[in-house]
Amino acid sequence: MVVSRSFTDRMVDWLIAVLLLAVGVTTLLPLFNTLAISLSDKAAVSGGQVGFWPVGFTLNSYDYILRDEKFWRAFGVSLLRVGLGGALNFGLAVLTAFPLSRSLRAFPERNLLMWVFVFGMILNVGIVPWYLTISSYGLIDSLWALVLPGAVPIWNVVILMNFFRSLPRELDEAARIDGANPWQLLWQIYLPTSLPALATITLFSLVGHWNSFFDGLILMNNPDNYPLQTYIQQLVIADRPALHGGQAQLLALLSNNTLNAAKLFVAILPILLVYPLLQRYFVRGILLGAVKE
Amino acid sequence: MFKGTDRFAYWLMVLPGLLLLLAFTFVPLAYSAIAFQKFNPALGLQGSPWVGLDNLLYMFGLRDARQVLANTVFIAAMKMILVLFTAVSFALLLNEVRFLGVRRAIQTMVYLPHFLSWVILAGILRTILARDGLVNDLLGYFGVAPIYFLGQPAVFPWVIILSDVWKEFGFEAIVYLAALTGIDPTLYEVAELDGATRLQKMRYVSLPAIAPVIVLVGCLSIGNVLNAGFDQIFNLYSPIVYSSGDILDTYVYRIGLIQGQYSLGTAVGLFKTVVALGLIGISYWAASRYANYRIF
Amino acid sequence: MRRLFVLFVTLLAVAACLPAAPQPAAEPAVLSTAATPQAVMAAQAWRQTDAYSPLPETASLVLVKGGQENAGLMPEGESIEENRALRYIEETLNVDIRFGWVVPSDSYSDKLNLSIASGDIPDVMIVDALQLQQLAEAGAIEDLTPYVEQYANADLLANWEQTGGVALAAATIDGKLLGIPNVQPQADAPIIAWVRQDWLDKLGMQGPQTVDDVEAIARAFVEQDPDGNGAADTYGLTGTLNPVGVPSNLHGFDAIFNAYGAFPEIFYRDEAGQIHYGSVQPQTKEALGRLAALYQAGLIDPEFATKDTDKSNEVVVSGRSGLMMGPWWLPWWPLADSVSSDPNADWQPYPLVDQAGERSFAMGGYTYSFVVVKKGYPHPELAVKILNVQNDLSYGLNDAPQFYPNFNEIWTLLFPIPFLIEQPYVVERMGREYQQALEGSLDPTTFNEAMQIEYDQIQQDLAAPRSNPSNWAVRMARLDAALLLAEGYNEVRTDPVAARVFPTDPNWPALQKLEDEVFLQIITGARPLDDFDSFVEEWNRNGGTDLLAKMNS
Repeated sequence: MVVSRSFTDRMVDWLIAVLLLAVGVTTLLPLFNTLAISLSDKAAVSGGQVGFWPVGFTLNSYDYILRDEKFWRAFGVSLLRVGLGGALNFGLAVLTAFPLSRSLRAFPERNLLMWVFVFGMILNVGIVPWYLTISSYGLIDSLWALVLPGAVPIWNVVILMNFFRSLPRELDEAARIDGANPWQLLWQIYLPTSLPALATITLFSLVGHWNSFFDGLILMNNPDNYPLQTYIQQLVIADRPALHGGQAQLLALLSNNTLNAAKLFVAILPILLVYPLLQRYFVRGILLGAVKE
Repeated sequence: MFKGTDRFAYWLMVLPGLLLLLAFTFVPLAYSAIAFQKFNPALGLQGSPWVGLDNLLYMFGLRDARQVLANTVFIAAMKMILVLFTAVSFALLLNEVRFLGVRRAIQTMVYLPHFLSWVILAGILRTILARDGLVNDLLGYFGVAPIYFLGQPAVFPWVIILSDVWKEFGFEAIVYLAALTGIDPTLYEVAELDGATRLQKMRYVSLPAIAPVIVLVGCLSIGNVLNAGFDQIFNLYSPIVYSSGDILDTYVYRIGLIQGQYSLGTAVGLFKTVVALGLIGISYWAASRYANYRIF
Repeated sequence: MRRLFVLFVTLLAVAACLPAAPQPAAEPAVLSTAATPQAVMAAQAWRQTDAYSPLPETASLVLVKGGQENAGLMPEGESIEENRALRYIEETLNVDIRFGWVVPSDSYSDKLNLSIASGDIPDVMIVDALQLQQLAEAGAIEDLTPYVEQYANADLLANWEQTGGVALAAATIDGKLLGIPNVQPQADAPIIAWVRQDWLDKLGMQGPQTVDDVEAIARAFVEQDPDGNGAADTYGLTGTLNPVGVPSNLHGFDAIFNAYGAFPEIFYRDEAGQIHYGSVQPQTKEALGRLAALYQAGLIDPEFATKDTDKSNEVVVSGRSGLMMGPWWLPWWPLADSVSSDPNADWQPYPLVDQAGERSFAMGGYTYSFVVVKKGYPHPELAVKILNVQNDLSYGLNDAPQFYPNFNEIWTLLFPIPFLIEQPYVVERMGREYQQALEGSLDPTTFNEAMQIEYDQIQQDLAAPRSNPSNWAVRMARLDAALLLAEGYNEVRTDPVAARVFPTDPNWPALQKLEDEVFLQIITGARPLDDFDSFVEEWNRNGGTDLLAKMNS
């Protein structure tokens, strides 16, 4: 039975929709502002005239970035780290989650190990011991320092383990009867059936690697080894200007403000590119991990 | 059916992860021993003299440490409360939007900041919160004098709290939205037959449906009251707002690594570790007690 | 970190070697061949003395360095790792110098702390007093006593001597000279007000003498559109998140404090022999009150408290402020940039006077950083020898070649150990000599090569003011500002005894944090001025009293 809806009721529907749309747009306004600044003339920016639309449209900043060797080197370090770190995270998550998803009878040490991992996850030793440890392994200034310390993504392991456990038992019984060993079981049965969950945890770790800056700042001595977020942090937050008085011709065209805005935006781009994927799988991941009834 | 070779295979699979965990989580735990030393890096862990609890006692007497602890708890708690409140309100309202396309569009917009790093967002915030930035321009239209957002100790914590709400409310709403879509539509229909208004339906149908989720999120948050957001604050603060904006993590970073007071920094860090462990224990206990939650 | 600042800015207070500008582009080819032909080297007797003798076999030396952010200033084809000055030093001493890391200047101290913590210590490094103490306690550094005795050249020894033994004493722990001390009696110069004369002229105003004058000028610069662009977009006085700091605090308010007879961040000794701390004196409160009033009136950059030096330099260079505080060498950095972007920017120096009409300025200590050698490095004498050769390159002594037209701007990048052991008052002396040459009472052909080059630049700028920012900078710093300093002033310094105590005091970082916080908050009005009194109490209670007691014992 459907109750017919009154006119005011529908008006309220619209009102709420418009209100929330306004909230949504407001959420994005700061990003529009940054984009507009990056595309504006430097005089308009220093005069504070730029709102959400470029004033004195110019691509000077992007033109400069395209030729900025340091920016692209940092971009490259980030890509390397995302690639290597993502692969490590993926492999280790799968390898760790699978045995932990087995029954107690099949793998009696499972619960003990699970507690060890969970303890490892919630144990957050201070930064000084953390730094001393990593440097004692001689990892300073090496890409490995950015990927090894967080190589076991324990939260992802938990999500994946819960997912493996939710799969129907019949799956592996059939495989067992065919004489498959655990490696084959994982490779031939579990991985193919878990693709959405795997996509989710992979995206988690890729975004995590792309976005982290602090380890780069502390563990890389040579600024040439900074990943992109660290590089941007140094420019924009620590106010190390990319341009100085010696570059008079450049300064006539662009300012650190427009240039920084453009760099921020270029650093956002990869996230925007995979955003449709992110939205789809992150939502799933959150639900897999957070609300498990 | 369960062969010993299988067990061996499982161990083999777990081993790499276990070793890395050992190397990067439990070895640092051993290094925490420098909290009980007068650590001199050139002498190392073996060579540095032991001082017992001196560093911890010194820490408890430090004015800075007390202030930093208070700032941490305040900022973290306000963040949790406001993010939760905003996310719940948002989810309840979004649940009322019947146009699916509009709903998707709104979600797409509000989730985005969650995926951007604090480096990027802090860069953006520094621009829009400047004196001649977007926010002060807008306030100017309403006749409000420019506010020194990042340089006023009374204002700074709220900049931190509200910008965190901006970044996270949409994303946190996901769990509530999921709970709301799980509601049996006939419940609403019955309520309507009883003459319930829209607000009453929200109050008596929607809200109870997500209440368990709110309890769960609330419980799990307990474990985080000492995490006020290092990345965010590190990229936005400066000495003038230390009095209200310095948190445990930034403080430990500055004294421990930058000023070279390794032992003191480690002591403060260790204090945080121990308290946080206790809090997380409580939060998991509460979550399992009140929300029937198990991590695995 | 503040101290380190001095090292990277261009403040070489010596007869700097500036070959005539305009200079042909650097020749990278020089790098691939020996800088000095064998025959010439054989004829140079000084090369055989202890201070310069090359090692029998090439040794490797690992250093670390700040200054990376300015690498863009290096001549085409040269870098911090590969340049002619470095090559000359390597050839002279037969050493192969490499850098473990090169970072931006204000990260240097942080990175060094991290390196020390990780046990990855470079062979030779520049450290501060606290690091010296730590390394000494750990027995991680060489005793340099015999090496300094045997290898330091006469100039270095004389410059240490000028400090009355303070410098060497500061580096001596338990009777051993564990570090080579710097000496910068002058480079940590008084803070002077620099004002855009073109704006003053436009508004019909005079340069400032007193804090009242500064206020009037700042007000006019804010309210009367001095740049004539029709927009109210100019600030008064600039500032940074370091409101006070010796030495050489760009955009610092030190001069205003000094004008009130306040000497914050200085541990000075009174006539009765007692050491006091300037930051907790009533005069400091008075000055803070004045600064708070200036800020309240909108006469200081409203966002100064969250800006660092680079950010505030941008304010000046972009023409949004015409009133900045800083040392005599400001024309080289950042004011030359201001002149580059606006040739009308006619910056002039004006020292402020205190209420008694006298010039009194807070000065840095003579010595605040040290070169140390890692324990076990086989050639500790190399540290001393490199400093000898760097000194020659700076002064143009011992046939040291003059490679660079912009030496003053890049010396910290060129030198493997950017470190100064200076003659006192050399800036004033040179300023007077240039002046005498201009008046005709001194023959400029008697100048050494480096000074002749500067003298040419000064004359070129006098003929066509600000047509070339480099020439302008040399004239403004070396002549105009130096002559103002030469008129004399009272110096207030941290007592050498105090200088040995506070940097290693465990409570010092917390006390400094407290002070920075309170000063900034009082100036910006976040706290009432009377909170200064509770600050003083808190300072005393949290270790300040003990600190002073230790100094006075």
